[in-house]
Amino acid sequence: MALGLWSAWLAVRSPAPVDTIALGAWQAWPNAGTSDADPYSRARQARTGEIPLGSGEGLMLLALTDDSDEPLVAACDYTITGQTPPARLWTLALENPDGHAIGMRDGAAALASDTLLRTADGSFAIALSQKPQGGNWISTEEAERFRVVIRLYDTTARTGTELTTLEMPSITRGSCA
Amino acid sequence: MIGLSLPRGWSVPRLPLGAIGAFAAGVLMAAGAIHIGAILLVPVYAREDGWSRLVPHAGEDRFTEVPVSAEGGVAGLDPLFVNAACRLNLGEAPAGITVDARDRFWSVALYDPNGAILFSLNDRTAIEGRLDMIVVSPAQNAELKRSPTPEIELTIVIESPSDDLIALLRLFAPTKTAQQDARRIMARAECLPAPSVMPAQVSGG
Repeated sequence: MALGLWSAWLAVRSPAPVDTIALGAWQAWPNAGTSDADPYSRARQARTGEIPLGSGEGLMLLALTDDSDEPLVAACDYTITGQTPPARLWTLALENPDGHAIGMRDGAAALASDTLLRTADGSFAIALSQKPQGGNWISTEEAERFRVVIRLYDTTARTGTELTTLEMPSITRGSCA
Repeated sequence: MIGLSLPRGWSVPRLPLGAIGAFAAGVLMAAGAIHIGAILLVPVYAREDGWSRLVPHAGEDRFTEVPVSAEGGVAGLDPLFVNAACRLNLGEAPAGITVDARDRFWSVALYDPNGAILFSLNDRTAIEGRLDMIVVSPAQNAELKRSPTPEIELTIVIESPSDDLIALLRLFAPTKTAQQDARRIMARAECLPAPSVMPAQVSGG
């Protein structure tokens, strides 16, 4: 009894290891909310209360750790650098561990691709820090532990063949307080 | 049975091994059955699934805003969007959804009570930023196909196996000004029973 329940819990805990695509620190559940979703995905979704994006809307990618598998904590500074898969619009937001958006003094702890500062080759660097930084900066002062969500809107990244070749930005840890 | 064939010359107490093996196999099978049962039952008993979280915020016959802030907000929605939900009931009549927003990214998804997405689109699919959509039950759809009404011509028709749905409208609104605009778009968007799209009932039928 305990063994069965424990293994079931393992499979559907948030975020669940089943039906996942992993790209570095990033995870995606492209079948979430579709009729292709298997019983594990349905159970996981019911547990996490996630409201998935439809295939006509976009794709969500979640990072719980930095590139060296360390959990993301507000005591440390991070830099998110690189490129995202092609999408008409994307947003990057910080969430607390139960999935609620984290606020900043003047709005959400989030950035959108339309106002992002980029280098000449189209890549970007976003600083996550409690202290204000030049360039693209998201404050982590409201969070003790957090996770990073990238949502790609109107993207071709949902088609199966492309998912494994997606290029996602890296998350590197800087100095810690 | 695994583990019962031992090298020759081993003297093993007769009873325990067979009994232990049978016991272990029994435990594993029971655990497996409970595992499968638990996985299948989770969606049935979950109280905190996406659907249950949206229901309190979904408007009747109109879109109402779903809060995203940490206090009392709904988890898993994009904080740079104004999210609006409307509950559809196809029991009496088809439901009509109209959205008019030209200047931003927006999308609409239809969720069934299992949290599965029946249909979704973004503003690129809408004609000049305008979406006209009718959601029908299979019976209503059959009737419409038999005698199409002129109103249906320029409309996206979606057939839903479930009579109960939530439409979630997401409007990109990264600034305070954009949020005010988005709330105006939300207030103008329609989400209403649309009995007029159905062919007139033949009297006595």
